[in-house]
Amino acid sequence: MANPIIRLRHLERFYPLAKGQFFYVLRDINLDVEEGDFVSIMGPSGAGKSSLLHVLGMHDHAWSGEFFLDDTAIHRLKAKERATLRNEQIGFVFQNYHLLDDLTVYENLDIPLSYRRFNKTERDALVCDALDRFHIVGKKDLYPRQLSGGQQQLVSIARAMIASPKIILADEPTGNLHSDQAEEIMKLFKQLNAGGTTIVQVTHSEINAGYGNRIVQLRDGFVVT
Amino acid sequence: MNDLRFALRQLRKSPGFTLIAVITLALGIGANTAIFSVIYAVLLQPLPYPDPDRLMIVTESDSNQPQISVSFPDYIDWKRDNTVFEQFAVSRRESFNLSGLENRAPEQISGAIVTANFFKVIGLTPQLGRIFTEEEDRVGGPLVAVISDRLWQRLFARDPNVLGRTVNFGNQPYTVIGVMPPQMFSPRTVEVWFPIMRRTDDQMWQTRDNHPGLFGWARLKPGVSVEKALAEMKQVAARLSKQYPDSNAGVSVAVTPLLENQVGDYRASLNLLLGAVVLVLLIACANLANLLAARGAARAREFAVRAAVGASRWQIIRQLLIESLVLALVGGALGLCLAAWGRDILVALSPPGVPRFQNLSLNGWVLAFSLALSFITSVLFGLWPAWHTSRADISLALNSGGRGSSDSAGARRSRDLLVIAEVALTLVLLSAAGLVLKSFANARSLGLGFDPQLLLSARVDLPSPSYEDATKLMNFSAALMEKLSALPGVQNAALASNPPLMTGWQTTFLPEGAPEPAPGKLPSVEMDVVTAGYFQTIHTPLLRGRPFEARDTKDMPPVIIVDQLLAERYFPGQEAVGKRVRMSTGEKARANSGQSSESFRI
Repeated sequence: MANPIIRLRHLERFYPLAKGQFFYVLRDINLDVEEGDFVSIMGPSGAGKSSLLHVLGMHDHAWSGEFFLDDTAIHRLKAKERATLRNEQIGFVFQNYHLLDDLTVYENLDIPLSYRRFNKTERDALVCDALDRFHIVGKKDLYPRQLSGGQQQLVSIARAMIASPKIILADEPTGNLHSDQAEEIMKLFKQLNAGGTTIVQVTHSEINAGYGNRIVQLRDGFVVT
Repeated sequence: MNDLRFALRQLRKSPGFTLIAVITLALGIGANTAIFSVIYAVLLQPLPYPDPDRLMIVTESDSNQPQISVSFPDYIDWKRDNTVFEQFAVSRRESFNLSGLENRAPEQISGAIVTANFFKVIGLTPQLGRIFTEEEDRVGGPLVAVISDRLWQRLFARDPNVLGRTVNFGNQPYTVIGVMPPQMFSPRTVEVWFPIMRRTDDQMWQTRDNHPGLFGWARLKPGVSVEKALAEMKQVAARLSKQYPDSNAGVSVAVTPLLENQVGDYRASLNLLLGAVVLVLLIACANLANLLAARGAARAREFAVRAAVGASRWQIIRQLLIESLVLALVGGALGLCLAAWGRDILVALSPPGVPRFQNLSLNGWVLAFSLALSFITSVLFGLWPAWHTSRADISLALNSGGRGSSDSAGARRSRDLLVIAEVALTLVLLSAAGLVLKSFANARSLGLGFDPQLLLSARVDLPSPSYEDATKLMNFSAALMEKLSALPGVQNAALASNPPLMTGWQTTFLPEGAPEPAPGKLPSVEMDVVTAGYFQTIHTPLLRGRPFEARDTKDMPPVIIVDQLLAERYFPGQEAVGKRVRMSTGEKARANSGQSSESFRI
């Protein structure tokens, strides 16, 4: 049997406080995510859900313990190597969408590719493909402010998927959407997962968690289930 | 291309910031461009002659003075004995009264008498006609003249038939044989050149310790350095010192590149000016860096998102640097326009006598400087904020509520340091400006030794063949004084060989009774020949003794007036009036007249 795509061992994330004290947001995390999993991380506010997602997304480097991604020991990599690996393997979807306000939908989709040394022709082909696949061709010249929340999140997911990552990390992707839009987005995640993409989402919603095949509960920085 | 497009979009999005940044940069870059254009025109622009780096000015020198005019016999020996110069010429500047042209009043023309090879040293050929030959440049040679392009334009409206025309210079009919091209400007401001050797039968010219205002012009042989030329010429001068100790003891030689000779005196002032405007630009950069850093903090989310979707740190820095570069280029273009508009003002404000200032132009070098400065400036004010912005914590920026700032304490501290640097630079600039103003005020309050208020001066050059006779000269002077004094509004009038503050003749002297110094070590002083009433005219009070009077004629015992500095140096604690000194002419003069109030030549 192949190793899990994500393996965390004794991972800890803490902030130094005064007088040599530390505030732990993640404590002794041991977690395996298999390729093709759709994992939902749940827990109360302040449990460390988003912190864990940022560690997995390699946005955060101030942690200790072991983190293997597809057998690569992330804890031994330098920041630049982690960034390269992140660009190849991971797409990120945010609760606030985090589209770039001054770029059109087309340009927002093009941006991740422009940072990955695709040539112009390849980029155009991939962007057009994503616009088509996510049914947003008609919106390509609009700016984020001209889109609804659901449409913005759709573009955000298209952006996360455009470089064909193996893993999508989604931080409360439907947190700012009403229920119809949330359902559409979750169906889309389900569809992507069915296509082979591993998904790890942070959610407060039991309904949304139900789209996944596994739930991880966090409390006070510990994995409790 | 995307980065450029996004940069333009960003700047359009914040017109207020963009406007302030562009104006700040335009003023900084414009000031630097304007001053650089002056520096280029005056200091850096190559001379408009072939191989200008090989052109040298050769003068004599001694322990008192770095440059002395060359004695004619020394020139002949130098020319014969050196192996470093391809051509070696001498010139002497003179003014000539031009007359005899129909419908044109006589006027004074700045000219030079030069050796025939002078033009070969310069390396230019006439645009019309020819230069004079070695055969024409001799005692008893023909009266020929080569004129400048400016004179050709002014006197003859560029008439091609000017060759062969006769023009009176100093009451002597000279035939115009050539017209030099417009770029010929050596010696400076000269408009007509005559053969020099006609004068060399004058006994004074053949005297080795007489320095009749000659300056050497030489063209180095290819491959010969200035240092090598100087070393060899010093050997030649040392040989002459041994051979002619009475006149040449302690006399050496100076070899200076022509360009340095022409503009070297202005280098320090112009560099100071450039330093001042560079400081202004640095202050502008510190200011902008602070603005950009604050803007970068406000845009932390944008760059966190870019990093999260794959931007490397360098790609973020590049994006920000391109924005800075666009700002700097727009600012630089506007600065260039300001410099272009300011050109005429600079020329109008230029101090008189600075060579080549009028050539000020925004040429390729100035444009390249402006462009390079824009690039450097963009890095100066853009790199630090870009560096800080690119270091932002992605997760912190993305979690801080979407649009907030993730400005760290370190970034804030750095911004504080920038403000400190800005204030420090401003203080340096203000202090320097204050010192310059203080020096200027000191210079203004310095006692000149005479009162320049309501004092007018005019220069009169009498043609030497007509006025070589001393009696004629005296008669002219007396007639001129009489007419000047009779003019309404004229209180006093006098004649002097040179006006106050202008270099006059130099002569050696020795107080009577002082030990005879070694050859070549006699003290040297500036000397002026003046008429009675001179000190009353320039309002210089006499401290002791009496002024020159009408009775001080050549038939009376010779007298001199010395200044306070000389009296204190050579007659310390003594009454100088009544003392006798030996002048270089061998005459003894009785210093019974008095002292002026200041250490200026009287």
